[in-house]
Amino acid sequence: MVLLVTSDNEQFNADKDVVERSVLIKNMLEDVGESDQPIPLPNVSSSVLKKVLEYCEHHRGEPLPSADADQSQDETRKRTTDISEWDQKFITVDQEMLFEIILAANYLDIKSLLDVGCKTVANMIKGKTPEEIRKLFNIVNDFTPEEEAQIKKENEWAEDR
Amino acid sequence: MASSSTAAPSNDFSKMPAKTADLEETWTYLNAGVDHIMNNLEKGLSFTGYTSLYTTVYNYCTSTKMHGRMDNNRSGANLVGSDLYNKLSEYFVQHFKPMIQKAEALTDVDLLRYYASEWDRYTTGANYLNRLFTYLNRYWVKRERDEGKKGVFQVYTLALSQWKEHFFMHIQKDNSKIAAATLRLITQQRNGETIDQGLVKKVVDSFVSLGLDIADPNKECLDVYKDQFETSFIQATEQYYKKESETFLAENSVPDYLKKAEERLREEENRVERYLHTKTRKELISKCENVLIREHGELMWESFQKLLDFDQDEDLQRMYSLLSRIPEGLEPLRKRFEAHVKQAGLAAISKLVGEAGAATDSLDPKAYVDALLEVHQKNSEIVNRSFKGEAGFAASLDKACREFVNRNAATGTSSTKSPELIAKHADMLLRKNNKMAEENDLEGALNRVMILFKYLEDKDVFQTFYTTKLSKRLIHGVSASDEAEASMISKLKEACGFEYTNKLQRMFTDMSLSKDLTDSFKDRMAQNHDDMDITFSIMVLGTNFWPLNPPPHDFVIPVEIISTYDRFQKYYQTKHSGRKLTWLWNYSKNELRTNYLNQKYILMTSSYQMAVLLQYNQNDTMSLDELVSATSITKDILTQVLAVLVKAKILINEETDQYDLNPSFKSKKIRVNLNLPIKAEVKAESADVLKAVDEDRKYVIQATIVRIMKARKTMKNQALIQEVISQISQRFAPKIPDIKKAIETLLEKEYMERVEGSKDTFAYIA
Amino acid sequence: MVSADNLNLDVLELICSYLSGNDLPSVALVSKSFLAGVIPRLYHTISYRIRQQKGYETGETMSPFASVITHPHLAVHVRNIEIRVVPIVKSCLHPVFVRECREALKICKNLQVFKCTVANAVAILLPSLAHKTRLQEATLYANLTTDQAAMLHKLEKLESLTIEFASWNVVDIMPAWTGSLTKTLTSLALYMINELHEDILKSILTNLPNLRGLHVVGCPKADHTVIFRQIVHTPLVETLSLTTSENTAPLTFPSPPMRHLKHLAFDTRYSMQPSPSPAILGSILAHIRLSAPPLQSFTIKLPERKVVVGDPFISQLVEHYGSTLRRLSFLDCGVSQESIAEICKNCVNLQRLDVSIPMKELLPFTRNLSLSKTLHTIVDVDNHVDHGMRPTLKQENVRYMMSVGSNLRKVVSNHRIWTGRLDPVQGVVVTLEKRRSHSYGSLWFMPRD
Repeated sequence: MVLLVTSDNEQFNADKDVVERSVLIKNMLEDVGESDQPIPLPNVSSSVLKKVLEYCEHHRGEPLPSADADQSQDETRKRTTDISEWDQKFITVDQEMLFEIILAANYLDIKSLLDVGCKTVANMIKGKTPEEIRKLFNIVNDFTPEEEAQIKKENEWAEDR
Repeated sequence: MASSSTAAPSNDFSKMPAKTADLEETWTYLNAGVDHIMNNLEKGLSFTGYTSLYTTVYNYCTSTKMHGRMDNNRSGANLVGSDLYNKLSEYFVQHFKPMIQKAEALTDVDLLRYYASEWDRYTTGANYLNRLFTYLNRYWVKRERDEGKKGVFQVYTLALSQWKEHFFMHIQKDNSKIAAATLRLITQQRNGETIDQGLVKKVVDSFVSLGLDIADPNKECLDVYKDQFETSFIQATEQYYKKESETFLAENSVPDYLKKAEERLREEENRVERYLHTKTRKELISKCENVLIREHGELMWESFQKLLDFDQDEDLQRMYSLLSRIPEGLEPLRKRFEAHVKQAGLAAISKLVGEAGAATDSLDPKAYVDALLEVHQKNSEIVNRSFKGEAGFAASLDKACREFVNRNAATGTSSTKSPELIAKHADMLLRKNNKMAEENDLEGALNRVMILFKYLEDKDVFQTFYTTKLSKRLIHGVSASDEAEASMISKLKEACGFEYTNKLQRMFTDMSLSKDLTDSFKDRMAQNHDDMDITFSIMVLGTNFWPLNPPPHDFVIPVEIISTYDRFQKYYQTKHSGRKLTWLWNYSKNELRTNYLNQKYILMTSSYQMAVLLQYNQNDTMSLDELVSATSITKDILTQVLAVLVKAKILINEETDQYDLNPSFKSKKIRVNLNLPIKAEVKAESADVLKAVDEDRKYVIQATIVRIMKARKTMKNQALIQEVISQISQRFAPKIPDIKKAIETLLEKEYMERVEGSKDTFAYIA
Repeated sequence: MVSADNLNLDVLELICSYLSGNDLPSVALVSKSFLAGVIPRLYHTISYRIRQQKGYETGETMSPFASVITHPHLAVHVRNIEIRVVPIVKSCLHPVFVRECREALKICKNLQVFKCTVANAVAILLPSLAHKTRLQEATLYANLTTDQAAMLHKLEKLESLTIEFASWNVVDIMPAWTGSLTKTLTSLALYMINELHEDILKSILTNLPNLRGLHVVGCPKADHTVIFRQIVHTPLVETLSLTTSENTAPLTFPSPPMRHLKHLAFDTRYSMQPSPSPAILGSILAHIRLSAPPLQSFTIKLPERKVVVGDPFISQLVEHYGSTLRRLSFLDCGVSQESIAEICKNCVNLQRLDVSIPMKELLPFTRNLSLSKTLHTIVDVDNHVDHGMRPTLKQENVRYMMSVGSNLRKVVSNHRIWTGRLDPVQGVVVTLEKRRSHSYGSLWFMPRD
C-alpha cells in the first residue's frame, strides 16, 4: 500500500500495482525505495486524483506502453481517436475536470490516460470552425484582425473542402 | 485529512520555487538537488525531495506564457527546455574540475580505483537525474531530436557525453593514463600475479558505455572502447606473446611449448569472458594464434615426426588442435603423416621378406596380411585419437596404405602379387579347420581382409584368385561354413557391386542345385532299381561360372562305375534335354574299400588314382604302358599319380615302369587320404589365374571403349583414354599401352573408325 | 483554473496530433497558443493539388511554400511534400511559384517524402533535394535531360522510389544510381517508361537483392515475361505489380522463388480479338504457384469495364490462394455474380473487396457477399465514367447490405464512407463519416492502408 498526499493535503491509500501505472510513482518507488512516508503530489488536487485512481484501478494489470511506442507510429497516417466504452464513460466529465485529468496524467506520466484525454478533446474539436472551438472552450481570441487574416491566408492551402 | 509530518532529512527540498519562477531561481533550487544526488546520494532522498525536484522541472518546462509574439509559444517552450538543458550541461563540466585535479596526482591501480569508484557514483547519480528530468526527456529532447538538432541527448546520455569530453579525455590525453594503467594490470596478470579483475571489468565497461552513436544514441557503440583501449590492448598482447614464445622455445622443448601455448590461448579466452567485450574475442584470439602458433609453425612441423616415432599421443593431440587453428597449419602434418605411414608399411613388409628369405613365393599369406593390417590399425588409431578423425588425415592414411598395400618388398614389380596373397589368406580363413582365427572371430577376420581389399588397385586379380579358390573349396567340400562364405560374398558385393560377385553367387547356387539333384537322382534310382551299391553324389556346375577346365585327355571310365555313369547321364537328359555334360575327372574323387588286406581300409582317392587302382582288381601288377592304355591318362600325369601312390605305399615300384599292389600295406588310420594335390598343379594355378586376368582385362577394356563410343558417338583419342581410365579404375588400373592396343583391335574389327580429316578422332560404327 | 487556454504546449501538441485535414487550419486560428500547438502537425505534410492552385495567379491564395519561406522556423516540421500540380502562366510553369518551391525545399532539412508528378518541375527542384539526409521516399516525373538526370545520384539513402514517364537519359543512369542505393532501397516502382528494356531492368534488379516491393507497370518493353525472367534477382519481393501483354511466349522454367510474395497486382492490356490474355493470366498464376507464396491481396485492372474477369481465372485464383487472400480488387472491370459467390465462399480470410457495386443487382450481390463470414469492407471502385447514368448508393442500400452481411462494417462509395455498428436495440446503425476528398493520387497499384 502506498500513501499519496494531494496539493490540498488530502491523503489517499492505494495498492502499489495500481499507482504504479504512473511512471513517476513507479520510478520513485524504485529509486527511493518503499517506505511508510507519504508521496506528495503538489500538482494534483484531490478531486482529480480520485478520478485518476479510478482509471488506474480499472486498468490495473494491463501492460504499460513501451518507451518507443510513440516513435514507431507513422505520423502521416491519421491516428485513430477510438476510445473504449468504459473509458468513454469515464471521461465524460465537465471541461474543467477533463483538462485537469489531462494535466494530471501528463504530470504523473500515465500515457494511456493522457491519450484518452487528448483524444477526447480532439474529438470535441473535429469538424468545428475556429469560432465554434473558441466558444466551446471559452478561449479568448488573442489575434489582431490583421494577424488572423494573415494566418488564414498562409494556411489556406491546408484546407480540405 | 491530517497532514503527516514526519521527520524529514535535512535536505528534503521542500521549499519549491513558485511556478512562475525565472531561470535563475529555478536553477538555484535544482542545483542543490542535482548536487545532492551526484555527491551525496548515499544519504538518501525522501519522497518529498524527489517529488519537489521533479515538479520543479515540470513546472519550469510547462510555463508557457512568455512574450507576446505570435509564434512565441513555440520558441518560448523551446527556450525553457534549452535553458535547463544548458544549465545541466554546464553543471557537469564544473563537476569534473575537482575530480581532474585529484586524478592528476594518481597513477596505476590507485588511479583506476579512483576512476572506477567515481564512475559508479557518477553513473548512479546520472541515472537518478535522468528520471528526475524525465519531463525534459519526454518532450523537449524528443522534439529537438525530431527536428534534427544534433548534440541534444537524453539526460543520462548527456551525462556520459560530458564525462567523456571533460573528464575521461582529459586524463587520457596524458599518455592514455587510464588505458595504460589497465594494460599494465593485465600484463601483471599474465605474468602470474593476482589482480583485481572486478576493477578491470568496471573500467573496461566504462569505455564501452562512453561510446556514442550520434544517429542512434541507444545503440551500443564501441568507438571509445576501440580507440582508447582495444587497439593498444591487442598490440600489447601481440608483443607480449611474441617475446614469451621466442624466449620459451629457446629454452624448452616443443612439446612443452605446445602445452604453454594451449594454456595461454585458454587464458585469453577466459580473459575475454571475465572483463573484455565479446567483440574483442575474434581479433584477439586470431592475433594470439598468429603469434603463438603460426610464427612457430615450422618448428612444430619439424618435431612432428619425432612425436609420431615415439607414439607421444598427448603431444600429438595437442599439436593437432593447435595447428588446426591456423589456416594451412595441418597440411604439412598431413604430408609428413602420409610419408610416415607409407614408410612404416614398406618397412614392415621388408622385414617380413627378409625373414622369409629369398623365396617370396613361400611368403606366408597370413603373416603378410597381418603385417599390413598392423600398420593400418596402428595408424588408423592415431588418426582417430590424435587427429580427431579429421578427414584430411584419414585421406593421408588411405593414400599411404594404397601405396604400400600394392607396392612393397613382397610384390616387387608385379601388380598381382598383393591381391594374390590376400586372396590366399581369405581362402585359408574360409577353410574348415583353419587354425588361425577362432570361430567367433571369423567375421572380424573377414572384415579385416576387406579393409585391405579396399586398398587394392587390381581388384580383378583378387576376384579371379578368389573365384578359383572358392571353386576348390566348394568342390572339395572344405568350406568352414556356408554363412561365412555368404558373408564374404556380400561384403565383396557391397564394395564392388553386383557384377563383381555374380559368378560367386552362381557358384553357390550350383552347389545347392547339385545337392537337390543328387537327392532326387537317388530317389529315382530307389524307385526304379535297387542295385546301386555305390554311393554317388554329383555336382553339376555351369561352365560359364566355374573356372575349371576339363581334363586335357580322354579318360576310360572304370567298369565298376560305368553303370552309375550311364544312369545319371540318362536321368539328367530327361531333366534338361539339350544340355551337354562334360565330366571333370580331374576334380572328382572317390572312396575305395580295400578287400585284399586283413584290415579293411577306406582309401580316399582322386578319380585318376581310382582308375589306376581299379586295374588291380584284375591284375596284381601292371606296367606303365598298360596303365596308360587302360586309363587313357597321359604318361606324364600318370607318372605323377603313380608317384603319390608309391609314396603312400599302396603300390610298389621295384622295377622301372612296373607297379605292383602292395599286399602288406599298413596304416594307422582306417581312412587313408591319398588325394593330395600335385605341386605342379599349384604352380600352374597361379600362372593360370594371371593369364585369365589378362584375358579378362583385354575384354573389359574393349567393352568399356565400345560402351563409351556408343554413348558419345565421336571422341578424341586423349579424351577416350581418360574416360576409359576413370571408368575402369574401380576394378584395376589399366595401362595406357593396353588401352591403345584395345583401340587398334576395335578398329580392325570395325566397331569404330577414324574420322576423316582428323588424326585422333574416332567415331562409333553402329 | 485550468482551461484549454492555458494548457501547456506539450499537451496541445499531443491533442493536435489526433487531428487532420480541415481541423488543422481551423485550430490554427483559435488562439496563439493553439497555433503554436498545431504547427508541427499542420506543416508535417504539404500537399499541393488542383484545389490549392486556384487563385494563385491572381494572388488570392498563397502557396504553402511561400508560407514556409516567410516563416523559416516552419521548415523544420515539414516531412512530406507532394506536388501534383503547378500553376501555369503563358503555358510555362509559374516562375514565382517555382522559386518559392525551390527555396522552401532548400530549408526543409527534415524532409522524408517528396513527390512531384508535374512534368518539367522535377528538373528545377532536383538540386534542392540534394544530400537531404532524411529523405527516404521519392516519387518523380522524370523527363530529364542527361545533366539533370545526373543530379539524381545526389538522392542517397532512399528507401522507396517511384519513377514515372522517365526519359531515356534517366533510364540510362538507373543502374548506376540503384547501385548506390543497394543498402537502403526496399521499394521500386517504374511506371510508364517506354525506354525501360530487359537488360537495364536486369542491371537494376541485380543491384537490389533486398528489394521488397517491385512495380513495373505500363512499360511496353518490360511485360510479364520479362519480369518473371528478371525477378530471380529479387527473391525477397513481397509486393509485385506488373503489366501483362499478349505475348504468349512461355514463362521461363524453373519459376523464380517467390516465397515471400504477399501482394500481387496485374495491369492487363487487351488489344487482340480474341485475346490470349485469360490463358496468359492463368499461366502466370500456375507459374508462381510453385513457390507457394502466401498471397494476401490481389488486384487486377483491365482496360475497360465492359470486360468481365473470366470465371475460370477467378476459380483458379481462389483455388490456389483462397486460404490466404484477404483483399481483392477488381478495377475497371466487371466480375460475375458467380465469381463473387465463389470468392466469398472460399476465401476464408477475406476482409476487403474493391469492386464495382452492381446497383442493378444489389440483392443477389449482397446475398453473395454474405457468404463470407469475415468480409468487413466493400469499396465501390471509382467509376466516374458513367456519371449521372448510374444510380448512386444510398444509405438505405448500405444499411441493407450491412444487415445481411454478417461482418460488413464499412462501405466506401463516391467519396462517402459509411460505417456500421451493431446496436442491440436498433440493429445495424449506419453513420456517414465525413466526405473524403478525392484520393491521394497515388498510383492504383501501390500498397495503401
